[in-house]
Amino acid sequence: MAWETAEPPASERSDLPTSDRSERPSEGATEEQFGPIALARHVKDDGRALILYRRLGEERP
Amino acid sequence: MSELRFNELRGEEVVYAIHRQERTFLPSREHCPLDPTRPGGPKTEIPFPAFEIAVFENRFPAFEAPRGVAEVIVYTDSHEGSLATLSAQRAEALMWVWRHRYAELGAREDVRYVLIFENRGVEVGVTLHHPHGQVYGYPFLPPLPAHELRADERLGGCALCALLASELQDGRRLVYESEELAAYVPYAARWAYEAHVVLRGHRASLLECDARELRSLAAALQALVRGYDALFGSPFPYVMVVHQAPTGPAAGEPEAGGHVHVEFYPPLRAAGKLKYLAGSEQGAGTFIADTVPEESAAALREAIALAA
Repeated sequence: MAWETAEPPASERSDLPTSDRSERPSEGATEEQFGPIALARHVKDDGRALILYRRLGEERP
Repeated sequence: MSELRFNELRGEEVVYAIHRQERTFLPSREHCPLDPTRPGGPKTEIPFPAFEIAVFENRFPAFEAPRGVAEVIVYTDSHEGSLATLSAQRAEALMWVWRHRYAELGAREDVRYVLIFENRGVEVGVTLHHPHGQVYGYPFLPPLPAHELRADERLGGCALCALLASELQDGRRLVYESEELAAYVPYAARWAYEAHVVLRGHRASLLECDARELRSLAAALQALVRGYDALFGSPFPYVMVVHQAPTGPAAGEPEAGGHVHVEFYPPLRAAGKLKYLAGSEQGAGTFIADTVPEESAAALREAIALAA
């Protein structure tokens, strides 16, 4: 295992197009709040559940 | 679909999930299924170009409805890094995600115990290096949480509260402290650098923790992993598990037991030397340790301070 050097995650990089810096809930997905985080529920192509979480209180792109 | 078989000789369930033989095994950097799906790139498990934290049902589950659940928690959309290298805000958010998964999965009728865990390093069988953990919702109470409940009975109250008090009084095995929690190499640790992170207040699960406790837990876990990495000057393999109260009919009742804490089981007993579970450990169930916890704790304490 090599040293793991962290690179800024895409969601926090400013060099990406604005639309690429944060997920957008897919059609029909609504955000729910849970404490200081928000979650958006999705269904993958094969029917499996996918939930995307983000911190609240930060400006969304 | 997995199959459960009860092993009468051991008094425990064994899970047969033979489809997991086909799971993705150490893919190339370009084909990591936990990366975001970037324009023009290969499709991954997360069909978005960026995300903060993602949770999805495991494609190769050990458990699945109507008999439990298996999920993957991806800490970041960055392929590199670890729990230790997340921003403090991201690590704190992860604690809330853990809390949410415990609440949601624990409410299911087919889940009796929610185990959040992370395997780090090929030494413990990691097949994907992207920073991530997992959640298993067991349809039964597994042996280790059951042992902890029996320890409560044996000690006449919460075992974790009693053990924490003992460790705080002794002090020699403490490796990290904050107002909300303490971390220590347990008095009778099985692994050379085993460490337990325990909330000072009796909290059955993450659901009972306040925001400050969750923030402190995130900080402690990051400090500990940074210390582990500093110990031998290389990424430190471990299994990390979050133990909380069982879920199901008695959830929330005092008799349900549980005191949320995080346990680390690192397989290294020295730099480059693995502790193997061999004759005594597998054949008798008795760990033979090559180090004493007081010395391990001193080394780990120093490493955590060095990495701070």
